[in-house]
Amino acid sequence: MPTRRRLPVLPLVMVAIAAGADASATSPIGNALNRRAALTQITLPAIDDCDDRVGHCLFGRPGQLCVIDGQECVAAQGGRRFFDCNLRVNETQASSPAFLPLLTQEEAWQTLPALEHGTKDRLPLWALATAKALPGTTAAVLELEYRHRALSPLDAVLRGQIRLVAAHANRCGYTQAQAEADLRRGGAPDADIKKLLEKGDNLPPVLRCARKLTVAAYTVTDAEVAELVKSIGEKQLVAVVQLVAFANFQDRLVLALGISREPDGPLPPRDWRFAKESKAMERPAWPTAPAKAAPMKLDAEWRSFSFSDLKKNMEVQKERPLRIRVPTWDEVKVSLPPESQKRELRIKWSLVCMGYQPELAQGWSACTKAFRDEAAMDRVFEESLFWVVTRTLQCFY
Amino acid sequence: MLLAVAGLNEDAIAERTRKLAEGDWSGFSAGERAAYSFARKQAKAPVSIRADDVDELVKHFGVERTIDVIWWNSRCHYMTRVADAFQLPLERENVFQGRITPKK
Repeated sequence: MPTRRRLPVLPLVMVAIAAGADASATSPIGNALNRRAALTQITLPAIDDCDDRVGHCLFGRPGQLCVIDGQECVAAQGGRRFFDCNLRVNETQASSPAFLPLLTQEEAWQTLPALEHGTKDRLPLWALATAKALPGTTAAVLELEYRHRALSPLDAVLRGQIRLVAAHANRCGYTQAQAEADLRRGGAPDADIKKLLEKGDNLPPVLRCARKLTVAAYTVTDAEVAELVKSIGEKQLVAVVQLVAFANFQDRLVLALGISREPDGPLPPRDWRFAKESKAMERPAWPTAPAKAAPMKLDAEWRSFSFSDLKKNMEVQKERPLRIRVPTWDEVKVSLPPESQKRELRIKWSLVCMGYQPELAQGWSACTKAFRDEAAMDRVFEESLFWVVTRTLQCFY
Repeated sequence: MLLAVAGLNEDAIAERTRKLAEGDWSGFSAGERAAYSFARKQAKAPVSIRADDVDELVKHFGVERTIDVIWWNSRCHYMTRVADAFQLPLERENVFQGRITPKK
């Protein structure tokens, strides 16, 4: 009987049902299941009452129970349903935890750079997907995730709340479950966690801003940022923004890899540190075949901004006042390692991140540097993708 | 500016961004088109990405290069959240000037 989520009460209930107990919604067993569903925030769309005499005669199977949570994950199953119309779906869910091939834990540890600190515990599924193509990059992201989850300058509760709000806004069940687990580990009551997921504007300003930054960053106002600078200060605010930025990166990575959950529940943060040398795999050249397809036109929303409108908006953006003071290079370089002090940074984006939160910013820089080294993507293609993303988000960066 | 960093001169940047902005991507290779469509869909609603969308990238790029494309697209969302939060504009001047050789 496959089990993909720990629901300790279920086996007893299943034994009861298999023994012929009444599991209808109004029965004691049905009530117990529904109460359990409420406690664990899962949805029980259907409870089979096991009155399946034809199925029993044909297949000789015992009674059954199929419980599905809000994300359509089978928690436990048996009997007719498994052998009936959902067989293919269930087999797919059980055998394909991701859209792309995953390494085994052992293979992934062999592929990643040498571990210099920490123990070879279970790696997250997303790392099993990326480790082969991007071993050094995967290692850098694992290190940065730890910084955000365990070493962030933000208070443990606040960083857990921010991560949860961002994951929920992105509808990323994987990181939402992880953030909830982090919050519970830090002592947050379930009722407080649930409140963070409610609709409406009842969230504190910093969490409202985190959600807005995730869903429609271009709608964040000068006044909202000014209020946060006043209440938590520039340094903390940059840490908040970098956490939201990381969340939006990670949620998209996880969702695009098709990973919905860890088989044994969310993994705790792990303090892994890796050697900087990695064994990047050989890649085929970027395909450069000329277009042969018919002309294509994007949707009306895309065409609602003409090329000249976009250029004008970019010029307007360049004239806008910044919402935060940009540290000078002299201020920034004292917090950088010696090798990074040699070349002056002039990019405002980098000066802000490095100036206010050097550890988090250097963690992110390590990710992007490793990626550039390993993927060696075509730069024009890279920046064209970036252009498409910024245009979609109406970010005139 | 970032396309300039990538090595394009002003004319080439204008031509490429015009083509991207006008939405007729037929001049790009099939792989590029698939990647741009993926980037747009992922930016609008990351949860809407399905196995078919990823399979389409794999068809053009293979598994490892598909992971590169997914990773890079996801990375763009880190950059934009920071830029939008603080209204950080791209620099007027190319701060990489002199370190790159423009392509034609």
